[in-house]
Amino acid sequence: MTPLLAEAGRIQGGWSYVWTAYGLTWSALALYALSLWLRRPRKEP
Amino acid sequence: MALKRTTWLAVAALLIAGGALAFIALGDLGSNLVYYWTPAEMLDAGSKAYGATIRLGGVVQRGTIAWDSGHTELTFRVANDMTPTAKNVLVRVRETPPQMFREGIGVVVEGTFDKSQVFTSNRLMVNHSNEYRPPKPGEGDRWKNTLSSDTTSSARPK
Amino acid sequence: MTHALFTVVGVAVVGGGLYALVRGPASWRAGVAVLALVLLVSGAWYGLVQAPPDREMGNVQRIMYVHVPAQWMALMAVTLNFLCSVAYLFRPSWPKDALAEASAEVGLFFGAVGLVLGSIWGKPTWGVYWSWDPRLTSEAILLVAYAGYLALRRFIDDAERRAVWSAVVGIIIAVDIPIIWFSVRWWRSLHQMQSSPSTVDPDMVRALRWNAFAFLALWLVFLSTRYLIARARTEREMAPPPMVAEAAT
Repeated sequence: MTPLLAEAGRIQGGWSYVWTAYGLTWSALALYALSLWLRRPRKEP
Repeated sequence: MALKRTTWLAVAALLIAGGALAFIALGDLGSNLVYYWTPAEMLDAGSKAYGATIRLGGVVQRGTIAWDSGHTELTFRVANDMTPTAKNVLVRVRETPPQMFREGIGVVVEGTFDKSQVFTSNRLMVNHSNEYRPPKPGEGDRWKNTLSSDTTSSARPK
Repeated sequence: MTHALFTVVGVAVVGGGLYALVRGPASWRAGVAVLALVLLVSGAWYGLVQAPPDREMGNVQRIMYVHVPAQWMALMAVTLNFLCSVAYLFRPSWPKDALAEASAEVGLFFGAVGLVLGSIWGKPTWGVYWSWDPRLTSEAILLVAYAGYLALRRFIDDAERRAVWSAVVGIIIAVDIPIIWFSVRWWRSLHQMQSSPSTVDPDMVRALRWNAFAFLALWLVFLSTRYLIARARTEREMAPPPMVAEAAT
């Protein structure tokens, strides 16, 4: 394979996609947990 | 206050759901709503395939990947399968291909076909198989720098 | 045979766990939440460090360890919603209605997360964030359907009517669940077919399983907590109005 083809512009997947995905997962889980906490049933005063 | 039992509603809802599922699963939906056409199907359609925006799916034929001199336009042939005699179509793309793009891999291209028998696409997608393997010893970060056809991925024309 | 046994045991353990978390003291839910956190952190280590990159995709393949568990949890939750909906119409009870509400919301949550993760994974692998292929389309329909289901629940004030009609809707929209699962087998798609341990490297299978258990623990905590919120609401609605209560004392 020629180096030209090898270097041909291709969308490179890398760690940035991975960190975005994991970061989004953790934030979404934390936010949903927070929303459940805020909606927790409370005894009437 | 006791809750009312509504068995008839349950039965009705289940019948509707079951009927809809059977219609979708057993009906001929697949042939009316295809996500992509294979090269053979598109060529068989003849002039009916000209002009409309359609998707074409198949595998990148060996030894057909080429860039133009300015490195802005990519051409390759999409074939029904990897056999040398498989029906195939020349595709011209100006998009940046994804990293897995290489010979022998499954692709879906969106665009138009015309009399010149060239499929002009503005959307190139690569489809991956359901296999996941680590690089073989000595391969290194092969995903970064190879366009060779030694791939575990392929399209699945049905 | 072993597969069937495994499924039965799995369903029993998950069902029993959910029952215990719903009926047990709050400390149990807190305990499982801590366990989930430990599993999630170690799962991230398995997924980001211990598992090898994929020879085709490189490191982006690691997104699988969060995308796939999220989608599994979504499908489990909406399946539970279907079961509760059917059970409610045949033998109505408030707990069934509350669990239906909880599972729809948890399913929508995990489904939305899974969809976004899949989209991020799609860009470097497929080349696009989105395409209207059968799998992606049916997943999008699922999210819209359960968002509609939850909206319906908010619009009906009468608790019993709400329970009955959302159960009917819950049964009908559940049609999409098998369609999502089989879409990649029935029709041509951009999305690949389901993987199995035979098509995935053992190290990757381990990372995936570990993360799936982390998500399962979270799923149980979310579902039981959301269930209690729904229960509290119906109980409030069923309580006699304050005037009557005062007169009675």
